[in-house]
Amino acid sequence: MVIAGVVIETHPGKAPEVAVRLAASGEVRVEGGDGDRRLAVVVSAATGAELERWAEALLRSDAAILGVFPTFVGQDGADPQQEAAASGRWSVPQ
Amino acid sequence: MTTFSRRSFIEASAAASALAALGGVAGLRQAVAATAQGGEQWVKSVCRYCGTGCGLFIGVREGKVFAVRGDKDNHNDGFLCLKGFLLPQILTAPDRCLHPLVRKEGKLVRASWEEAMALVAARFRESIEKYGPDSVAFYGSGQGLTEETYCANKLFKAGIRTNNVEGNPRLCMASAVGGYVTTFGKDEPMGCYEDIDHADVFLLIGSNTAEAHPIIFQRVVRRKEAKREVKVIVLDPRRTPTARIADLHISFTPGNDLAILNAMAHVLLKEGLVDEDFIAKHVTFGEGGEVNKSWEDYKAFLAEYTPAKAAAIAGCSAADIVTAARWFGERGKAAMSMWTMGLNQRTKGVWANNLVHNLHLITGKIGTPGNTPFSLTGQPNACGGVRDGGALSHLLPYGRLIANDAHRAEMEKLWGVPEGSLNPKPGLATVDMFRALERGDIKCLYVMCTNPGQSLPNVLRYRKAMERADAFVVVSEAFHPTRTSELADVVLPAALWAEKEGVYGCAERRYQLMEQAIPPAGEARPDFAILCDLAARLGYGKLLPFKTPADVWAEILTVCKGTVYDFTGMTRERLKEAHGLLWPLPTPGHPGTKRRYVRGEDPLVPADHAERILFYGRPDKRAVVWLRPQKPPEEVPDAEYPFYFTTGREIEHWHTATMTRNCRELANTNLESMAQIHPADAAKLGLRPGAPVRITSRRGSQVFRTKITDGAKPGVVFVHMHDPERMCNVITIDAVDPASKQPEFKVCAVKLEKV
Repeated sequence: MVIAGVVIETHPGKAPEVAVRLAASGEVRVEGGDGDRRLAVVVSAATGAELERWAEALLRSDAAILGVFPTFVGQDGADPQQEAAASGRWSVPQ
Repeated sequence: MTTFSRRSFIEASAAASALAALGGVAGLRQAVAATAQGGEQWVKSVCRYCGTGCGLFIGVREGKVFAVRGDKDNHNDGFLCLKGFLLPQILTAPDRCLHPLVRKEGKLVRASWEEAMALVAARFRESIEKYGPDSVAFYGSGQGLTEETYCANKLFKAGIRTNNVEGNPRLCMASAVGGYVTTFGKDEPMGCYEDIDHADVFLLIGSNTAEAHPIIFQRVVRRKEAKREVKVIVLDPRRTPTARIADLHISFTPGNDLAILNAMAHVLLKEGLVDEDFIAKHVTFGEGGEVNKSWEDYKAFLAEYTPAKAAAIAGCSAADIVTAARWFGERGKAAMSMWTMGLNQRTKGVWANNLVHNLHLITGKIGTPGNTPFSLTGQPNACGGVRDGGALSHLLPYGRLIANDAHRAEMEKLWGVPEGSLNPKPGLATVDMFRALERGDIKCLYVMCTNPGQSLPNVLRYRKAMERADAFVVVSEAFHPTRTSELADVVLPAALWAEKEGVYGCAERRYQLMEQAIPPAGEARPDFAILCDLAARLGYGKLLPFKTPADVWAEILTVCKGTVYDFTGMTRERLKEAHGLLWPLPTPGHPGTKRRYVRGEDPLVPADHAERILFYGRPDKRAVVWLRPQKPPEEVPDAEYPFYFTTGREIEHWHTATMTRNCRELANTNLESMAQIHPADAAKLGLRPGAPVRITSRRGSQVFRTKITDGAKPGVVFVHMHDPERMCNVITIDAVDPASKQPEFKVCAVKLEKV
């Protein structure tokens, strides 16, 4: 399980309403905000890739959100087998 | 007592980190509590990737790195990009090199350290004795630690007595160095990241900041959000993600921005946006290599660079050039320019850098908050280790030159070697060094912390050179295989990032100490220790008598003393406490220098100097506005090769992806280089998305899948540089800038064929 701390930037003044929507979605835990345009949230997902998809979907679906910036990424549980996509199995072009 | 599970600890850390980024002190307290109760340690460090130098903390538990978090007290304000956050994965990557390898009967096989080092020393000694010191060479990296690079530089130049010491900054920053040195007399920017917070106009040229330097880009975005009238001008052939925030994006044919920059100066002059008083007091003029021109000569030179003419040359709009100049030159508005490989990786790279500096000098927009020309750096320690440390073939540490008799004499004294020990002839620059390997003139090459088998231009030519039977190639690297280690005769397993201690110096003259967080993996050793071992085996142990990197740093402080870099006040203790320090910093109590050449900020400018600026880098204390005419790239499209080919970065990967391809999330995202082609070109060639297309230059050919994007400029095909399988450098040209010796990765001519 990947757990991330994330700052979500919104249009000025929109952070409170975005916080309500995020809290209602159940996908994240809203930890706090500056009352204006920034929110601190914690989000977890099975993989980092899933986290990325979540961030992209959030940006697409909520027009008040300007950016999603991770401030921390941690892993719960033992390190799974790492699979490097291209670990040295390449060919030399002629 | 509250018991923290691993999960609750990580959640607390995540929350604390996000809250800290908002300034929430409560979050930090929570993290501290969690740390105390969970037994974790957070070790202050720096990101391993780009030249931004983001501060971070490495979370260690039971001897393993489990997470990183951004350093709120550093310039990055606690933010990191995704690559930075995924750094822990690289430490335990499946292709970490964990023990020495020696080539036997054509195959790299496991060996002991003793066997490997004895072989390396024997081959280097044999070559030096038989063919002389210049038969060996060192090729280092802007990713090595300052102490490591210093040791290599000293061993090869003062011990072995060859100046064949190069590094990959030659491939990325040499033209920026050339620009600063020719214009201001000394290398490195005069401004700092804080200038972003004061700028009213940003000129981003040859830089896809959003992807290559995302944390700097984020700061630009914040500035733009904070002040609505802030303007962002982006000059780039492609419409990159950086252009998304542009108020004006000028797309032009690759390699023709010299005309645009001269035309902007033309408009500034014509519309009275120049600062005559500043020019009279602080500027002089030159052409070629001579400072022998006048303000009137420069005006006459600019006369022909009308926006219309430049637009015709560069394939852009004249009105846009005028707008860019007006925004840049508007009185009372602070202007900051930032650039990177788009300007540097060119055969006219130094000239392009000069022309950006010209804009600042003729408008006087320099040396006050928000007014600065600022070169962005590609690697985390290209500035601190290689540029400042003088680990290139023509340099000695801290601004000294091989070709300067006094500088050599000074370094001989500092290094404790007999007078005349240092070879007065500069060594071979990177491309020439690999050509010497190809000819057989260089017999032994020591590669440290870099991947020339993928990153050199026209790479197949130099891969063959490394494969020569009579070439002995040593690669010290944390990973194996890489496209270079696969060619090596000996691979030495190097400790990586959190596994060793040393200093990184980033783009804004900020030096930061990375403390060791965990022991090296397997049998890996820090490059510092490997180089000291090699020195002892070669009989130069007295030159590298160091027990720890801190010992090296203590010597470095004596070497920088009295130079324009002077950071004598950066003791190891102070570096441990600080979250980055900017040189000059000549005394222990000095706060560091945000803006060089500025009275009241730079300790090298006398407090009673009559003017606010003193360009002390040059003998006449004036910066040079250079008359640099438009020149095309080395290779332009023709009937046989009708397309421009250009290369660059994607946000998910870094350099040759040696590290990022070892992160699961990144390996699965955009690692494959694709040919990014404009829809009109794709239609002409009958290419559909994903279709294979062969790109061929005069040097080589490679098949990529097609990515059709209207962000591409018609007639220009882009491929990113990260993919180790589909290497863009099979195609790129190895022509170099005559002054900086930096290759023109950014422009060549190709043909495209549907496969």
